[in-house]
Amino acid sequence: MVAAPRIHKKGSVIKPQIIGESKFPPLLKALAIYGPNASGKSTLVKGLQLLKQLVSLLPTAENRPLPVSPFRFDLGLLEKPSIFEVHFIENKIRYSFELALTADRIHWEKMTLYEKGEPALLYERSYSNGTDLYKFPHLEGGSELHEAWRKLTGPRTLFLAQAVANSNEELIQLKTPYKWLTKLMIESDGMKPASRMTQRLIADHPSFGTEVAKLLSNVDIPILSIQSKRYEEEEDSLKTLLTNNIQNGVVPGERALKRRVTNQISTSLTHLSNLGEAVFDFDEESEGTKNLLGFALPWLIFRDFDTEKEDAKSVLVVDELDSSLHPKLVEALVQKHIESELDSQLIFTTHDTHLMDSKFLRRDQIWMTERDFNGATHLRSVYDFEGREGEDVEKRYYEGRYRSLPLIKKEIKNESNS
Amino acid sequence: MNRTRESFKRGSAKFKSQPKVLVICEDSKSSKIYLEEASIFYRSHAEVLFDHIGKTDPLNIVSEAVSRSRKYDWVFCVIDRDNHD
Repeated sequence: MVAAPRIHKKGSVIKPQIIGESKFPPLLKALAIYGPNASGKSTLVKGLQLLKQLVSLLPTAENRPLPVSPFRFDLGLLEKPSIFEVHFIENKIRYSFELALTADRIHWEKMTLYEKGEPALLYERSYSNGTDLYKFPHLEGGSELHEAWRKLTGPRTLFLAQAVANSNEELIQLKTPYKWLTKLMIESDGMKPASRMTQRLIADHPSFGTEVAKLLSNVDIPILSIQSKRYEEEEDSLKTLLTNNIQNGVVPGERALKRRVTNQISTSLTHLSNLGEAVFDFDEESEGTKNLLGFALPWLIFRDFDTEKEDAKSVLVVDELDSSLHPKLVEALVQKHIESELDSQLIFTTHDTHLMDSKFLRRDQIWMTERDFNGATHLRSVYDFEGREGEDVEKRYYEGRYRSLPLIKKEIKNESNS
Repeated sequence: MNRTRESFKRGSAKFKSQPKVLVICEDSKSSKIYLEEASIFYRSHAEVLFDHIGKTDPLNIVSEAVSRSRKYDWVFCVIDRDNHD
């Protein structure tokens, strides 16, 4: 997402480095997406996630449908493919990737790179009359290899993923954009997956536990240390327990077994108060602390990157950044990212309007979704509305000046009053 | 779609901000309820206040509208012509 001209606030923008395109507009370092429930915020995040999911899908003989669903309100669109388009910079080169697909197959796929601003098509695949037609005007590797890649690509596999999987080290033209897509960090399903990942990392690298504990105590959650361990040791004791039970004629319930097998990790957190230390199990922690454990992951990973390295230039997308977190804490996390030296972009959805009021988000960083008559989503930023920098965005948002407010019927308001 | 770097630039404002609107009704029942329902049906995001001010004659409604007009972009008065001369 690009920044608007003539708004100055320190540290809010990234100057993109693209070979041959020094005049590319600056990019925003962080952007917040607001909007009523069921207005399309999460769908937007899921759309980005889909791209990452597709490139990471391993080719399989299984007849698995692709994870897209059509716009169901328009009968004319039910059979039509969903279209995705993403523009990005990796390794100082600008790319665009375009994709059209239904649950049945990929209909269209196209990767373009820009040389000094001029588009050079790497490949284009389009499905028509029962076959995939390909063009490779600027792609390295030669026609024999192109033919092999083409034949290897099934209807539900991305040509990009297939070609990269079957390339040696010399072939980098597709690997570079592929890398950008795979390193996208997207948290669309709450923080649970990320939280589990953090615990696994702590189990394997105990020093990471100290880092996470430090991050938590910086935001007023007084945790001294975090220990995680994988369940292998416990499994032995479980086995003994089972054997003993079975010998005694007691058969453990299926659920108890399943629980042991799926929860492969146990985490304990040492809290500190004036009275001393106490150890808590992960399950005893508040939802907020559990989420923060998940948030710690991308933040610490970002931070550990050498800012000069290309790996640090990535995008982190979080759905409901504010889930179970205090507004002050969300503010601190976002501010920390904006003030960091990192050239990565943070995109998040939130209901926390306190951030609108804070002095570090500009009008072009505040976005809103709105559901229209037809159930379609519109995404606009406050900057797209007439106004001035420095206006009271939070107040004007609640006045409905930027639309994107839920419309609550009077009956409900009255019921809740009585 | 191939895009030039110029095409990524953020243009100037595309939308006017929603006006603040006051609608004063002469009764607290039918016309007020109809208009409230309509504003939800048309997904109007304007701040619409349908107010019954305890006065029912047109002159008083209009003078109330004038006195409150500074806080709004638009003020409308709903008056039923059948009931007045």
